Amino acid sequence: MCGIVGVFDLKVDSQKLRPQVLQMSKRLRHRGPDWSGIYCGEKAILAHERLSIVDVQSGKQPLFSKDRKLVLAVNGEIYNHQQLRKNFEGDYDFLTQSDCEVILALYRKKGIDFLEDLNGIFAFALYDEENNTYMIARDHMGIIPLYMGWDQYGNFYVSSELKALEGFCNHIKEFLPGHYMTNEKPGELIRWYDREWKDYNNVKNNSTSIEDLRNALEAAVYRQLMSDVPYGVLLSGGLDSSVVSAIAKNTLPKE
Amino acid sequence: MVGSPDLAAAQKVADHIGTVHHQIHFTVQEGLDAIRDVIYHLETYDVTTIRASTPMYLLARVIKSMGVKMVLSGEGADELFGGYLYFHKAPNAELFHEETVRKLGKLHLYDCLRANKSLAAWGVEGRVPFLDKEFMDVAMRINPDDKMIKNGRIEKWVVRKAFEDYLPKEIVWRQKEQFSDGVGYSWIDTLKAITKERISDEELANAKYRFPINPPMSKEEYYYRTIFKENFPSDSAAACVPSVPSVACSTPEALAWDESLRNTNDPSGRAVKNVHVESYK
Repeated sequence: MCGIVGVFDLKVDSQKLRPQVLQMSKRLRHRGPDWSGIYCGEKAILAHERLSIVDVQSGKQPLFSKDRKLVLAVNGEIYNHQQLRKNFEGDYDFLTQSDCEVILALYRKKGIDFLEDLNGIFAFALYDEENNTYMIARDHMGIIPLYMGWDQYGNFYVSSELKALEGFCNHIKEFLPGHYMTNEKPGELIRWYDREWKDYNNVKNNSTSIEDLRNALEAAVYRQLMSDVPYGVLLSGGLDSSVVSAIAKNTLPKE
Repeated sequence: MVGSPDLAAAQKVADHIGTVHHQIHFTVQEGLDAIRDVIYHLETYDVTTIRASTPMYLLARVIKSMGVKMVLSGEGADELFGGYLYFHKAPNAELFHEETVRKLGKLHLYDCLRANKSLAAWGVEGRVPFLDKEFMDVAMRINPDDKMIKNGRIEKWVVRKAFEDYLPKEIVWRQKEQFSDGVGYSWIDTLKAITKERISDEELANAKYRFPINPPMSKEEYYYRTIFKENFPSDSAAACVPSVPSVACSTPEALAWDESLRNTNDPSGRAVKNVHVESYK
């Protein structure tokens, strides 16, 4: 995991706010004990506490575009990043092997309209310095936590955990899963994840394939085993974790 | 915990599939001593979440000490497939399906929060393949009637069927232990006993004056809420946490399914009468 703190719509001098943001970010350091990074612009600050799992060498955050105009702090994993990267051959200058960098490429190409392309778990804040615009989003189910808040001056914050905002913000709310937000309407969450299967009428006549189910879960475990560091499976002896363990074991090369 | 039902089962699975398996034991006292830290890290006063997060939080520390930074975990299957024991009481496929959709929509407040923050407390990342975006579409487009518990099929029959060749028979067809139960009943029973001692009837009766937002409904919840408030004094922090009546993790809507569900408020799987083999008498 990682931890992020972002401040937008700054109403105060960013250099004066910077030490406070560092202090807030430090409260999330358990999430990302491996490195810290901060971007401090005139209108936005992004702080990141990193847990390195993919691209341990060069994946430190915040990530930048080559022209340094786009800044990105992510807590999460983009499982299909390699597949997505292939669409950008020659079109975008990737600077790292980080799975998250593809978010910058997608934003450059599509604006805010790319969240459904991602398969992963994430909460991120992206700042576009050139246009002084920003975008914040959270994954489809809320696998990664995210909160938002406002301080007494009207500065707007997002943070991976509540504890970074408590005492600094007068008003705190959860940033809902499957939603995003932009500078156009600060605080107003817009749903991006929606599914036809929520309605019983759309699934009641479907047929059930045990084989498709098996293949789909195997594919999911395979996707999610993306890692450059040692990993494990939590095994409780219940059905669910046992199935995940068995698939992970089958998927792995023998070692 | 030594002797808990999950421990033996986990060892059996590991032996069968041939993984390197580490058993991690903790005592009730170690769990109790960790509660304050668990509430700080989890940022909740939800009773079920705290009960189930404590073992996971302790486990995460050991995992980290072994040099592991990422773990896969089984969260989400019970929501996708109606694996909670109270799903036995679902009257028809439509209500069954609607409850799975509702449960999925609330995961960010419960199991997703638990898995992420229990592990992140120690710098470990949790991944949840059942909640993979593509897999979810496949799982939720199955005909809901095939997920129902009837005609001799036990809960999560489709998952069991799909993976029956991967695992020992007694695991594939083992009844669900809700995590809070699987670690051993002594953990939950101790929590109830201790909090009953520490919080007076008077305090609980007047809870709404001390905690106007989501007043605690039990002594256990009152106890957790007190610790939460020490760490997160603001009203808006308190309002970020859910507080609704529930039996064995059901939503309030599903409580209407059955008279016996309606009259209890206990998140343990044992509270589902006549379903769990060790249900309360």
